[in-house]
Amino acid sequence: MLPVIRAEDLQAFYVLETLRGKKVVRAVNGVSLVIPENTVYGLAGESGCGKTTLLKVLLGNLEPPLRHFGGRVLYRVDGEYLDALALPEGKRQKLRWTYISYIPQGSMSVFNPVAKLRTTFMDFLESHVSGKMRQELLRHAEEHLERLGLSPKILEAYPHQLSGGMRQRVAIALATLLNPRVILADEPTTALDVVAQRAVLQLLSDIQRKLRNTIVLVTHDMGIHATVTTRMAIMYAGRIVEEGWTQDIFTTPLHPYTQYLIRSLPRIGDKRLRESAPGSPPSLAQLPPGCPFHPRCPLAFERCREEVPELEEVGEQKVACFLRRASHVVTS
Amino acid sequence: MSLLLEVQNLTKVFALGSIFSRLRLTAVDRVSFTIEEGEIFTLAGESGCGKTTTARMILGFEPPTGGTIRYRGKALEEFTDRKSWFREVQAVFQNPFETFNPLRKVESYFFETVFNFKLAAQKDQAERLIEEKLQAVGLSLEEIEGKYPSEFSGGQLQRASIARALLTNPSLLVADEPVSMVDASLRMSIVNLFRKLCDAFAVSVLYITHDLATAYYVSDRIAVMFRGNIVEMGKVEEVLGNPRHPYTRLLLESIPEPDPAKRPEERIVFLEEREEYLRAGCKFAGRCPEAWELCGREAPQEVEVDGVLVRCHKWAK
Amino acid sequence: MEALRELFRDYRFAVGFVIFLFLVVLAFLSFASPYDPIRQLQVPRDRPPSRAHILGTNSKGQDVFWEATFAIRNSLIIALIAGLVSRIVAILVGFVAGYRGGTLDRVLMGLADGLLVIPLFLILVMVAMLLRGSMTLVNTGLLLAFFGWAWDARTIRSQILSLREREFTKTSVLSGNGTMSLVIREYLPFTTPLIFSTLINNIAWAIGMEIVLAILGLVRLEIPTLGTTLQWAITYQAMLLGHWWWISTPVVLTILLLVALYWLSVSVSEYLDPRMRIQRIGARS
Repeated sequence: MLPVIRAEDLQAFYVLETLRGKKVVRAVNGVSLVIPENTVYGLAGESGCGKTTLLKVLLGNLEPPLRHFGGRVLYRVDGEYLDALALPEGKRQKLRWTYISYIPQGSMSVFNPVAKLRTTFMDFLESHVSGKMRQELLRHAEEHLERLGLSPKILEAYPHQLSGGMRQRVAIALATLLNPRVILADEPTTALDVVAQRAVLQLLSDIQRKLRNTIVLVTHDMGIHATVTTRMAIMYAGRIVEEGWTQDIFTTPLHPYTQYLIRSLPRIGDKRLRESAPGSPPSLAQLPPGCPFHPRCPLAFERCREEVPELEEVGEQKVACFLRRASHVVTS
Repeated sequence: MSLLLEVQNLTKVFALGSIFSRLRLTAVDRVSFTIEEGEIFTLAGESGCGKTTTARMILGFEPPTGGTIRYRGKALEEFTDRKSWFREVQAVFQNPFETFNPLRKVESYFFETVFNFKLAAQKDQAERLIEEKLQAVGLSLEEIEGKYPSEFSGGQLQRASIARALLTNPSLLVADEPVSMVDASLRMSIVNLFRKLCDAFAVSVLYITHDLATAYYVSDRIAVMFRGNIVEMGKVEEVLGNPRHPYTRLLLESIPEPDPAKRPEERIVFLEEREEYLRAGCKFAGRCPEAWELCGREAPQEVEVDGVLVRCHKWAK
Repeated sequence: MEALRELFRDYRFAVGFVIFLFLVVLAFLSFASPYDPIRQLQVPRDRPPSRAHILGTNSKGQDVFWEATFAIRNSLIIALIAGLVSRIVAILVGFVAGYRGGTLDRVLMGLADGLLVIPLFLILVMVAMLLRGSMTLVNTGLLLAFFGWAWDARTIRSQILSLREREFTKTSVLSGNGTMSLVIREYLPFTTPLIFSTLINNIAWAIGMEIVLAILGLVRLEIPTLGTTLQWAITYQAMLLGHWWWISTPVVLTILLLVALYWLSVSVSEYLDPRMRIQRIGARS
């Protein structure tokens, strides 16, 4: 599988000026990722672990106070790699929506609340597609909606007339209008009810199957990852701690954090006691030395407190944990 | 076990629109259920099903349009002041970051509760009481002293919120989506806490949620609400293990199962139903795969099937 | 004191505070004045600044410097009365209307809207004309206060309305707090920046309004204020006759006062902004 996006040792921090001096929030702290073509790629992690910031960096959207401190983001466009963060602004704008697109958390912000959806769709098309007639563009939008199983009549509605689930699906339709190779979806179902959530997920997998592109799905809900993603990465305190096939991660989670996440999931029909990890996630402004998970890890030993484990291959999975190193002999 | 809370035919009607085009929306429609002492009772449903309005009425934040709420046989209206009600019934809210005023120290709510309810006369007595409740949720007074809400994590704040609610030794804790905004890695520790408190302090919990998996895990009985009605109610193993109402089944099928091997094969029909609240007959008839002509015409009555209450024509036969 | 130290880090506050302090000192100097503020022909007329009269004398035979100290004092008294009284009314109306809601809310907001809709300046001039004889310092202050609360009461009310829906309101009620302590403990910290900045703004507005009324001759002109001083200088054609020291004194003082108030208002409201406060709390941890 060829990659569509590669991140190499990415570092992006928020530098905040407070009354008491500088504060550095290490939101993306050395992330390396290979996101393959034609797949639904999951990114899991809890709030404040840096997953939304990682998406911003992958999009090349670095605005103060977020600053790039190192590493590269590579897009594979027409067979060659482009360094996304070094691209001139104009070129990056061009790739936006045609190569990579983004579905933000709250779909309401995408639409103009006082205009019909048709206006939003037309404005969007007119600013990105040149040399076509209005009629043609409108037909393109209608066909696209139909292809995704949504009624083209939606274009005549105002955003507030749609339910949250429907609005989110229209936002997804808008983001995929220009057939991008990569779609970054940030918690696309968080505000939705289970039934509406199911419909949105259904739409996302349909799109992936039809366009044969890549969807990067960011959510804290492990259930969603289990239902739709093929590969996934687990993020904790600004780092990727585990990466692999979703199936493998759910059957043999390697990192203690992942183990807690998966084993603590309640299942209907099973009332056995579930324990979640002790303690709380660290503040990204004050990371502990060594492995960021060590203060909560019951298996931590000396090395974990001093040294940061790198992401290393263990079989088909990758994990950032000293316990999983071949050199480390498990004595317990 | 004895009866703690009895809710009978509880109804809330909201009037929408202007004086000229009054639209009456029945957010909660003749809801009846009971909570026993020392049990965890779940009220489950999607947003807008009326579960939060029910909770607000039980807490006295919203006057009911009809029906009664009784606590140990005594009606809510017979409690002359709010305080005597809150001594028995306390609450924990959804968003831990909004539970406490960001401009005030968290501890101030603890001392206010103690002194307002006259639980202690002196400061050291109050401190001992507060320490005891904080210990019960895995915190200590030392940890929260002098700190503002922004200095805590969501999990810690939710624990603090529970500890504050326990100060008056209430018999009923109303928890409105208490874990939906808590981090995934801490969620189960909060859920476990409810079980522990229920066993240790004999506190009953009215657990309000949209998350059927945690509901199954923690509660004894469950009522599934849909558009203002309870459509199915009974032991959680029965209702979720063997769902009888088509809506309960739809909800269960929609939950993303945390098991990649069991991907859903069948596709769900997703209908836009904004006007379900105003429907005559069964409110679910519009998207029910098993509906027939009677369902659109007549509202179904509750029937008991194997100890489970179901509101569906299919079971009324 | 921590608060003051942080405020002084803002140069706008420091400058505004120093200017304001200087003007207050001037106002207090009036108590040591060797002259009566109202009597005329106490000193030789129309003298330019000299050692004996540092800001010269005016055509009425008064010392400009000592007159100015009275003017500042009286203008500040009027503005403070207007500001404080209208604040009290605005807070009461805003809190009651916002928290109680219902019919009371509608009545109070109807009143406020009424005051906002009618052309304020016209009414002010008409009332002042009717009451010209009794336009003492206190009455001028009260008149301005009467017209100064409506907008701010509305702003406070809308803030209370949004606070009432926040979840911590429920926590406070569940903690057994009654309406009064709820409002004072939970809501007041959020409204203080608003109250402070509107107080300063209202004082500035009252000073300007007093000058307008005085120039139109609608207050008792024998009482020296920034407005009446200017009015006399204009009447005696100070500009034309080259008595620059007479006319520029109230002008410069008014500008200084308004600039100082503006800077104080901006820096204080920025400091008290809840978001900034939360951030400061965050920076501590």
